[in-house]
Order: sequence, then C-alpha cells, then structure tokens
Amino acid sequence: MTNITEASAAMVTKSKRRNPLLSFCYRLVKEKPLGTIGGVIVLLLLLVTIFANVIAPYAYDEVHIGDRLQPSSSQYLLGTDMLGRDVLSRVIYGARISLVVGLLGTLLSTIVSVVIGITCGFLGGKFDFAVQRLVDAWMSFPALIILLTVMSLIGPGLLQIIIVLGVSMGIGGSRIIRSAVVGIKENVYVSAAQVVGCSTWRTLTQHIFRNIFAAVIVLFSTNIGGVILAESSLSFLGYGIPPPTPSWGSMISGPGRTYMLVAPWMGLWPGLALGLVIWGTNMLGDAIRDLLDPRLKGGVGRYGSNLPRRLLQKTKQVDA
Amino acid sequence: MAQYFTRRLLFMIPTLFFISLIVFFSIRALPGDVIDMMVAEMSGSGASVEISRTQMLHDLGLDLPVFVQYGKWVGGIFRGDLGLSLITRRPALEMMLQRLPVSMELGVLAMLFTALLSLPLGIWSAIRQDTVSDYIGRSVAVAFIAIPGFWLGTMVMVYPSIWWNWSPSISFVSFVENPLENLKMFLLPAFIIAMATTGGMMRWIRTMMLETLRQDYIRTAWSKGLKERTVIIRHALKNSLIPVVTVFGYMVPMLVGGSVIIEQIFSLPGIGRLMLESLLKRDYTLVSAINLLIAIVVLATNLLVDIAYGWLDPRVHYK
Repeated sequence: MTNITEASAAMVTKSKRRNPLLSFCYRLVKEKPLGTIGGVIVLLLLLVTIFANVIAPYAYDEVHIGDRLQPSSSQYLLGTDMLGRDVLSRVIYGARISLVVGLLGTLLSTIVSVVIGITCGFLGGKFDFAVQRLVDAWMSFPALIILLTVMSLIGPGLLQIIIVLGVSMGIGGSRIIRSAVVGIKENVYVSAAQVVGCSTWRTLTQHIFRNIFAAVIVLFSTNIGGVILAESSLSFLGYGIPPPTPSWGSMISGPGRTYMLVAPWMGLWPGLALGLVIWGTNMLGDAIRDLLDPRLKGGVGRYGSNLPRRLLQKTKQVDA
Repeated sequence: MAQYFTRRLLFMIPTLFFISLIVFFSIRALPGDVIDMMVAEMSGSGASVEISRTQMLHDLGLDLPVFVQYGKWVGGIFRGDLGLSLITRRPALEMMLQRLPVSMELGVLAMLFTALLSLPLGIWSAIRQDTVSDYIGRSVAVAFIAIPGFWLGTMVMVYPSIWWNWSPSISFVSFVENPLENLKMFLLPAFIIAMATTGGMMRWIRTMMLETLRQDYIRTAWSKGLKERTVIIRHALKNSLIPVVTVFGYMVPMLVGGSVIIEQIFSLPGIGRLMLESLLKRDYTLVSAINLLIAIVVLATNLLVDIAYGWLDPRVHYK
C-alpha cells in the first residue's frame, strides 16, 4: 500500500516536473498553427532587437551625405533617406523602440490593471462602484484622443510615452481582471483562507492573485500589439518619440511624407515591419489566450465563445 | 425595462461627473512653462491680438480658485457654452458643429464598410472552422487590425501616383455641392478607417456563429433536412447577430480614433483634424471641448446599444 502511494506520489511529482513552458510551446505548435507563426515573428523581433548593432549594416544616425534618397541597392538594401541614412538599419533599430515601449508599456498597464482590478473586485461595495464609474469615464474617451491630449501636455519622449500608454491601457484592462477576481472571490477556498485567519494581503496575493494569473498573462499578451500600434500612431502624429531616435511611426511621418513621392521606400518598410510585428503579437496573444484560459473565451466546450459570459455579465450588472 | 432605463441613466451621472473632472483637470494640470510657450507661440505666430501671460491665464480661467473655475466651466456646459477658442475667439461649440458633418459621414461610411466586409468573412470562417479558408479568413482579419491605417493611407497617396499618375483628390467638396465627387473622396478614407474595426468585428461574428452553430436548434434544423443556406442564414445568423449589434456601439471610439489620423492624411476637415490643429496650436479650450463632446457621444452610444440589446433579444430580462 505504502509502495503504491509512494509510486503514485513519485509519478505526480514527475508529471509536475515537466517544464511547463516547454509543454506549453509543444501545445502551441501542435494546436495553433497561426499562433506558432506569430510566435516565430515575435522571436525574430526579440533577436533583431537584442542583436540590432550586430545585424544593422550602419548606425541608425550614420549620415552619408553623398547617398541621399538612394533607392535600394546592394550597398543600402532598403535605400537611404533624405539625410543619407540607411533605411534598413533604421528599421532594425526601430524594432528596439517598438519592443521596449511594447514590453515596458504593457508591463506597466498590466500592473495598473491588476492593482485596480484586484482592489475593486475584492473590496466591492461603494469603493468598487465609484472606481468603476471612473473607469467608465476614462473609457468614454477614445484611446488616441486621450493619449494625444496628455502627450501634448507633458511633451514627447520615451519615458513619457511608456507611462502614458501604460496607465491609460491599464485602466481599460482592469475590467477583465476585476471580473476574474469577482468570479474567484466566491470560491470556498477564499472563505477558508479568511476563516483560517489569513490577512487580507495574504489572501490577495496567495489565493486571489495566483488564481487569476492566467488572466494576467493573457491580458499582457493580448495588449502588446495594441501598445506598439499606439506608440507608432502617436509618433506618426508627432506626439511620440522625438527624432533622431528611429521609431517606425515617426519614420512614416515627417520626412517620410515630405519625400514620399521621391523616396517612397522611406515609409514603406517601417510600415511593413510594424504590420508584421503587430500581426505576429496578435496571433500569438490569441493563441496564448485560447490555450491558457479557455474561460476567457466563454468556456463552453472547446470552441467556447463570449455569449454566455456576456449574457451573464449583463444580467449580473443589471442585478447589481 | 423602464426601471432599467432609469437606473442606467442614473449610473451615467457619476460617469459624466468623472468625465468632466478628467477634461477639466487635464487642462488645469497644464505645466506653467507650457503657458509661457503658448504665449510665445501665439504672439510669434503673428496673432492679431498681442497676448500676455495674465491674459492667457484669464482666458483659461486659471486666475480663479479651482472650485470656482470648475463651477463656472460646468455651468457653461449646461448653457451650451464650451468656451471661446484661444486662437479664433469663436465659440468652441460652433467650430465643432461646423466640422461635425464630415466626421459623421466618414463614420457612417466606415460602419457600412465594416458591416459589408465583416459579415461574409466572419460567417465563412465560422462555417469552415479550422480549415484553410478559416485560417485565411482569420489571418486577413488580424492583418486588417495589424496594418496601421496611417501607413496604408500614406502608401495609397504615394504608390498609385507613382505607378499610374493617379492620386486621391484632397480638395474638399461638400456633399451638397456635388454628392458624387464627395462620396468618391470619402470612400477610400472610410475604407481605411473601417479596416481595423472590420478585423475585430469579423472575429467577433465568427465566435458568435460558432457558438450558435453548436446549439440544439441548429442540430434540429440540420436533421429536418434544411439546406445549408437556410440553416446558416435563417437560424444561425439571426441568433448570432444580436450580440454583434452591441459591438457596433463599442466600435465608435475606434472609429473616432481612426478618423483623427485619416482625416489628417486625406485633408478632410472633420472633428479629428480640428483636434490635431488645436493641439498643434495649443488651443486647449477647443481641445477640452472636443474631448468632452466625443466622450459624451461615446457614452450615449453605449447607452443606446445596451437598450437596443434588450429590445432585440427578448431572452434578456432587465430586472
């Protein structure tokens, strides 16, 4: 008897010891072909970002006065801009900006979402009501409008854009975390933890947060594309990252537009890179959502949808 | 229903209050050096009236205590007075209303495009789930989301003119003057704005269709021997469209955001362009007026959508 228990215990630990990341990748490749392509694109972006100074043939601000507005050639694969800077190198370094803003902005937004979502979902009551109306108010402004206003007030810059994007997107995303917390709060183990005498802090971190962790990851992975796109839109309009730092958005605007009829490649390539990266992050994010937390999709069977959850939410909201 | 409606309206009061706070305090939080910059820019740009720092503070209402300022501002809103533009000295409301028709036309056309494109794509993807056509459909949807509108807009201005010597007209023709020319110039920008919303909408329709297709009454419809067309359109589509209608409401903020950029690229004199112009000139009374208007429009659409939801779907009971 003891032997059997020990054996099964060993099996349990063994099956638990399988690297979760590896098995997740395995499932991704097996079940989600589009998500895998997205993952490869994201991986490429990561590599390009890390090894930008190795891959790029020139520095992003290296000026070749004699070679202004050159079309693509063997010397400048994607041509040069109006200052004779290599477009390929600038696109490669631009990936850095996109990724840094994407990762840090999304990280900040996820933290903001989790803090607002957990406190609102857990505390409930009047506090929740007031904060939710504030979130309503914030979400009544189209993202771009509010981002533009704030960026125009505090001025362009890398740090500013990360903070503004992070806070703004985080407020919107807090809804998802809040509803996840509201669902989890009702579980017996939460009451049990409280009965046993866990402090609120311990209940929040050890019981609630751990159980919404999948939702947090999903929120992170589905938001990244939006943050990158928002950064480039702001940079395009001149409220993002100031020159000479090569942001894909600002490469399409400004000089890219002034010289667009003479040197259309100046705007063509950064846009293609941007589109590819956002496509990849979206596809990967969707696949991660489907694999990690089918409940977020609505959770009826394998191909669950949002209908039951939405209806449930509607009725819940109305009841409240 | 009436009770639900009243409650929804009451819920809007705190939200509106917070909206007013956000709009108001974003201007209040103007750093002092920005005011100096505004003064410098305005006197430098050859404005007919020489403007001083005190004058500027007075125009922004920043020379009064905060609560008095807020009270005055909100009082003004109730009287339909959103302040005077700092540059043109005309009422902000009047300037916005002048630009509204263009943005409305753009928005309506974009919605039309979204519906026309996303419905067939979404249905097709759903009924051919996990086949090559589904993968293509979903890739196209995400590609629509991923292709930045500002980039496509720029490319559309550039490449046709290089290849075929054709470019979209950017001299504005009003609908009253020449409806055909006007539509011709709106179609392309409306399509580009519609791309992002089409992507989201298509995926939403697909999910809804998949959900509906698994229902018992669909199995019944199949086993009755109905044609695929009847099952899909009569039974599945009708039921899955109800939640889709609500998403049309959530599209409004996306459409507004998209039109800010697209109006700029295609030189359409709409609200979005007014917003960018006034941001560039630091005409913050106008900026806050536009923000307020847009937020209220979005809030109102969401309310309408929630009411439409109950009206369209008799299964939803608002208690």
